[in-house]
Amino acid sequence: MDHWVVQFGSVFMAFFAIMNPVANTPVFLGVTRELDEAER
Amino acid sequence: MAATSVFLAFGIVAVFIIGGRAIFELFGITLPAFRIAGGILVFLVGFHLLQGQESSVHTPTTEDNERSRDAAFGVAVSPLAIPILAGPGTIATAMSYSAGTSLAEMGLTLLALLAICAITYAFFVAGESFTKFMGQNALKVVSRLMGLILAVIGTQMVIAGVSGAVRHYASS
Repeated sequence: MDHWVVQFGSVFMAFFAIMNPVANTPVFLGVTRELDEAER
Repeated sequence: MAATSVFLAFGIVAVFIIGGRAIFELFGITLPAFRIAGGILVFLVGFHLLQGQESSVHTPTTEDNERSRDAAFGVAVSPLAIPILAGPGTIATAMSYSAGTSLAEMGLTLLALLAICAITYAFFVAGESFTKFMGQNALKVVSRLMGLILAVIGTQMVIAGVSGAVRHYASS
C-alpha cells in the first residue's frame, strides 16, 4: 500500500513540476488574450 | 479553450503512457536509453527555468504563436497543448514512469496525469483572479522552484537509466 502511495506521489510531483499549472496560467492568459471569457 | 487544450494534452500523454512499450519495441530502444535521453531533456527544461529563462523546448517562438493565432482552434492545440502542457519533457516523464512496469503502475501514472490535468484546468479557468492574487513575482518564484525540482528529476532519471544500462550489460 505504502509503495503505491509513494509511487503516485513521485509521479504526481514529476508531472506537476513539468506541466507547471501555476506558472503556465499567465502563459494561458497571454495566448488567449483576445478571446472573451466564454471562449476561454 | 482551456478544456480543449487540457483534454488534448491528456490524450497525447495518455497515448504515450499506454503505448510506451509498443513505441520502445517499434524503435528497438530500451528503457535505460530513454531514461538517459529523457533525463537530459527534463534537466535542461529545469535548468532554463531555474535561470529565469523560458526553456526553448517548452516555449514556442513568437513566430509560431502568430501563426497559430490565425487559426481559430489554433492556440488550444499549439502552443497550449503542445508543447506547453505535453512537451517532450512531459512525454519523457510519462514514458519513463510507465513503460517497462506493471499494468497497475501504468494505471497509477494515468491517474496522476488525470489529477494534474484537472488541476491545470482549474488553474486556467480561475487564471485571471489567480494571477492577480499571486502576483508576478510569486509566480516567478514558483517557476524557479519547479525548475530546481525538474533538474533533480532529470538527474534522477539519468541515474536510473545509467544503473539500468549497467545492470543490463553486466548480466548479458
